[in-house]
Formats: sequence, structure tokens, C-alpha cells
Amino acid sequence: MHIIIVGCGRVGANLGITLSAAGHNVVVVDKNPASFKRLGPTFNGITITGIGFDPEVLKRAGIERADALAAVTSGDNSNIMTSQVAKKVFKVPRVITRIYDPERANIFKRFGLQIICTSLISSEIFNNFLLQENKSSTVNVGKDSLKLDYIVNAALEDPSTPPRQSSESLRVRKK
Amino acid sequence: MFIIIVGGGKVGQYLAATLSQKKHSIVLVDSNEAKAQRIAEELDNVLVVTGDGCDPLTLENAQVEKADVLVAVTGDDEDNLIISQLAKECFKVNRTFARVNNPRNQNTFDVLGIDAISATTIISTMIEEETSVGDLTTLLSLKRGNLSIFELKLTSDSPVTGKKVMDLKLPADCILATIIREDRSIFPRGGTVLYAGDSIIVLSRPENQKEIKKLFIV
Repeated sequence: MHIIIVGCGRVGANLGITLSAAGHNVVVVDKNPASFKRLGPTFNGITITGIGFDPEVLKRAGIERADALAAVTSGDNSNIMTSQVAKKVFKVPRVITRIYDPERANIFKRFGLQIICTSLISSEIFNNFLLQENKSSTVNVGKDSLKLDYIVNAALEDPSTPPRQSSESLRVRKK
Repeated sequence: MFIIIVGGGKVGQYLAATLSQKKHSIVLVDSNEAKAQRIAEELDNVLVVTGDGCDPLTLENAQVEKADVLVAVTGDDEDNLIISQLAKECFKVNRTFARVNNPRNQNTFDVLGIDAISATTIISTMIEEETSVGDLTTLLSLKRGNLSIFELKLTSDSPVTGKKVMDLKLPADCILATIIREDRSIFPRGGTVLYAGDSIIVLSRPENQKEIKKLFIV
């Protein structure tokens, strides 16, 4: 597949490395050329310096024949704009958008974007690991969905870390 | 009218100052607290809200649901797009305008149905119109409706001089609106004859400019 990744931060670079190792045609776009260092020596795709929603930059990245695009810059707004340019102007069949702000994610879902709100997903994961309750939850991304299954695996059997008493009993004891 | 301006740069401040003088009620939104404070002190009749205009909560603080018009004039095209889309789609603001900083983004705004104004494009079009076609002047370009009003000056060499209006082969989307002859305006009929020295006012599509010039002047 010809895949364009806009934003070469930690997520973008990792994605670029994995996809290019899997044999895909990868083009990574970032406004700061220094960030391409994150791609390391194994990356065998193309890097382009420029603004990700600039149609000229996207054309140089081969967007007219791209199968998919991931918008993963640090800016929610630029990800939203890049995705809309890819989807509505260049008709890229698969466009995935990363958005931090849950509220904005909710709103732009209605614009037909396939959004991954990583803040919501990480907080869900943290929640599960903190509370250690068996639980499964589903995150919808467009028509597809991601299922998270949290399974408690004998963590409480470790005798060195017994669960603390509830906060109420602690307070009573302090008196 | 109640107008919200997002972005307190030069454009935003100037808009706020002029529009508030024309008795519109203005709310200006800027994310920089110091700047917002200064603008609030300088412009008496403008209410300033501090916050990120791309955040729906900030727009709610600015009472976006009551706004007749929202103008997004920050220095970032992505922000201007998102602000306009939020206003239009979530808060049902009737009229929104976005400023386009990089003319290459104009098409994106057009495709996404957001009214956008690029100062660079407007200035370069104006210069082009002034320089490229000598005896044809664009009096007015209406972007909505894709319409232009042209003025042409006829000379004795013009191919249409001495002809009747009904004998002109005007392009399909084109109306000969008025003839100005010695400071009088004539509303042409089929039998009206064109003379050298006449100014012709034509209503047409901007893209017909060359064809019209060819018909009347060259």
C-alpha cells in the first residue's frame, strides 16, 4: 500500500518504521526536518518537509495515488484539516485522524472523519489497570471498532503488595 | 448585528474597531491573555473573550449561538477552518468568513463549503485585472454567484461600433446592461446603435472576460 503519514513525532515515526518494515510504500511528512531523525536507519521510505495540509506538499507525497493517510501531528486542528483535505479534495480511500481533545473528536466524527482519540483510549486503559476489574470496552473508529479486553491475571496473588485498606478505615486509624 | 471575531491580530482588531463604530455588537476572541487585555482597554465598545477559539467552550462563552456572523481571522489556516466549521455545523451560525493566509489553501476552504477570503489572492487578481486587459475594467466581482461587472470603452476601431445591439454575438452568460454616452446612461434595446466613445457596462461570468474583450475591442 502507498501510505502517507503526516507528523513525525513518536507515533508517526513508529508507524513509519513498522509500515515500511512490513513492505509498504511509506511517505512521512513533517514541517520540521529534524524530526525525521526519529525514523532511524531501518526506515526505507521517503520523507518530505512541509505543512501536512498544503495540497502541493501532499501532491509531492503522492496523495493522488495514496491508499491511506494517517494524520498524527501534535496539533488537533492541523490533523483535522489534513484529513479533510485528503478525504474531500484528494479522495483518499482511508484516512485516520488522531485527535487529543475528546470534545473536538466527538464533533468532527459527525464530519465523517475516522478519529482515534488517544486521550480517551489511554485514560480507559489506565482506568482498567488502576482498578483491576475484568472489563471489556469498545472504541468506535468510523464503522470499524477497537475492542479492549482487560483481564485480571493473579496480580493480587503477589504477597509483597497486599491491597491497602480503604481510605475510610485509614482515616479512623489516624485519629 | 451581533458579530464574533476570532483572532486579535491586525485584521481582527481593525475589523472590531470599524464594525463596532457602525453600531454592530462585537465580541472579539483571542487566546493570548495580555493581548486580549490590551484590546479590551483600547476598544471601548468591544467585548473581549480570552480563550482558544477552536474550543467549543470558548465559542459558547462568546455566545456563539446568538451570533449573526462569525469571522475567523487568526494567522493559522487550520484554526480558521476549524473555527468556521464549528460555528457553522455545531452552532448554526448563519454567515461565517475565514481568512486564508496561504492562498494554496483557498481551494480546500471552497471544497469544504467555507466562505474564505485570501487578501493575497484578491490583491493579485486586482493587479492582474488592471494590467492584463487595457480597455476593459472589472468594476465589481461578486464571488457569490460567480459574477463580474465589466466596463468597456468603445473606439472607432471597435468591431461593434456602428452595430445594433441585436446584431452582437454575446456569449451565453452575458448581459449588456447599460451604455454610458456623454454622462447619460442608456438602457439598450435591440435597435440601439453603439458609437465610438460609448462606455459599455456588461454583466457576465468572470471567465468570459477574454471573449467579451475580443467581441467589443479587438
